[in-house]
Amino acid sequence: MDIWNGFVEALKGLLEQSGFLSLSWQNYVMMAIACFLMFLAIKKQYEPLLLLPIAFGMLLVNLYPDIMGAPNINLVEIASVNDPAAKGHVIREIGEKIYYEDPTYGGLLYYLYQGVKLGIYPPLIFLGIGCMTDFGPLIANPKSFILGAAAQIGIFITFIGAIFLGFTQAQAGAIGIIGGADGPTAIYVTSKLAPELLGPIAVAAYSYMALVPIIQPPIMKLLTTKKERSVVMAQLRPVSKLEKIMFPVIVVIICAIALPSAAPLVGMLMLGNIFKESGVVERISKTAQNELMNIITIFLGVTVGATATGTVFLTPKTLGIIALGLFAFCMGTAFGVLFGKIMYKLSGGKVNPLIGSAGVSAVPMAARVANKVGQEENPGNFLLMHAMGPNVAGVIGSAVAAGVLMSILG
Amino acid sequence: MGDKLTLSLTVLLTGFAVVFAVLLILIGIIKLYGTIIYNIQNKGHKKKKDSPTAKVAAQTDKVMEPVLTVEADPETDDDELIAVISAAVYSMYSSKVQIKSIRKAKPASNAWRNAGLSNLRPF
Repeated sequence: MDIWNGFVEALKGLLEQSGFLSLSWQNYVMMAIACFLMFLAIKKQYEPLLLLPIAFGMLLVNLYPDIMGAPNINLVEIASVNDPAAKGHVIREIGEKIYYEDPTYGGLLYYLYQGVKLGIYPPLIFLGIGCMTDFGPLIANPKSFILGAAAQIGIFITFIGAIFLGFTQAQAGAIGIIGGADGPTAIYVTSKLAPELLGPIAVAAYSYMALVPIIQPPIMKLLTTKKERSVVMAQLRPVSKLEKIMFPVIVVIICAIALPSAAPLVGMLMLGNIFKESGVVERISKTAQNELMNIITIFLGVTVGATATGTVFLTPKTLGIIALGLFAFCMGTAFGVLFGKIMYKLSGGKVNPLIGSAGVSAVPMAARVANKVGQEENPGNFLLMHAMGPNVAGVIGSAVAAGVLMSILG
Repeated sequence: MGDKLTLSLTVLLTGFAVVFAVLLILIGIIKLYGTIIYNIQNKGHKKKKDSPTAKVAAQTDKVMEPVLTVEADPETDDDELIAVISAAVYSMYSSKVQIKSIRKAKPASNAWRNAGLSNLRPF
């Protein structure tokens, strides 16, 4: 009989622990959203390298919220210091009473999440991106920096929108940075300014980056004439190895002196780039852009997804963030193209304004979109290399914009 | 309301000014050192350029020479390959072009290759 009672008790215990009783309806809605995001990642291949871990992290945390649980210390009251239950524990005396400390440990993803919370993962991802980025087109045509800067205006305009929609200034800064179209930068800024919004902002940022080929072309076509879109640009001048090696050093010196808060992002990006361009540390460069970056991507994706619990995600604020993020993206594209038009006028028709849209970063997708829209007018027109200039300038530009936001609002 | 407006405009103005200022300084410096290095290197040895972009440019220059000989590297002596490459070059540069030689380019990392590989990249 004892065995039977034990069996029933054990089953009861398991049932009470199981999700059937402890999960709320929000958790189930989030699981459905997670499955939908997984569908987008696998079937539609929308940024699968990040969306898939994010979606699965979301699924995990809503199935088992304690996986993100923080470590805790419970105080258990005891009668005397010699109580056998307190053996091996730290004893505390508060007033008349004696307690022993009973620590509980955090969940798996809680510990991995510290890399996001403390701002460690995004700069490490930048290190890998630096190893993969060729700044040659930007060095050959430094004016591209103007387009990379222009596309950041969307960030600051969205900030205004977010302030007036009732977000705090720190939250508004984090939402605006979605317009930088740079995943690691968005996560870095959000983790510093408004960590509570990390889930919705990461999902919005990566979704829009995946949707660049759908969002950008209508804006680009709306703002340019057929003649402007057909401009064939002169071939870029060759860039020497010495110039490429000096570039990261110069950029990091200028950016870090002018804006120290941008130093972690820009510094890591340029460290990676000098690994690549110097050509003497190929092993390190390969590791940074492959193994290290893949490992960090897994941790970053899963833990960012795991911040999206039902109670945090399913609020009207999330809809606001998603709408503002789209607005930020569109404004960034529009200002890039408009400045491209100014350059078109000033250069006497030598610059194709379409390359301005690539200033929103989202490397290299935005550059490919500029190339594609250009080829719709003239199939023999290859804008890709010209668009890569503003594209990589946009990465530096959004890191600088992030530095501005963090120093004003942080 | 007034506070919000002040804050918004301050952030907009500061952000705009700082981002442009930093990037404009970078433009100036890069242009300057770019011109200096480019001139020095061009004076010294005109043909010895080793960046991937330079290679592409150098190869294009060669291709554009209106010479009537068709030579292929023994390693890539494949009629079909030559036909395909000739057709591609012809479609881009019209009939003025003759292929002199076809060499396999060293697998260097450049933006074209990166763009092609971008499906493997998370960002």
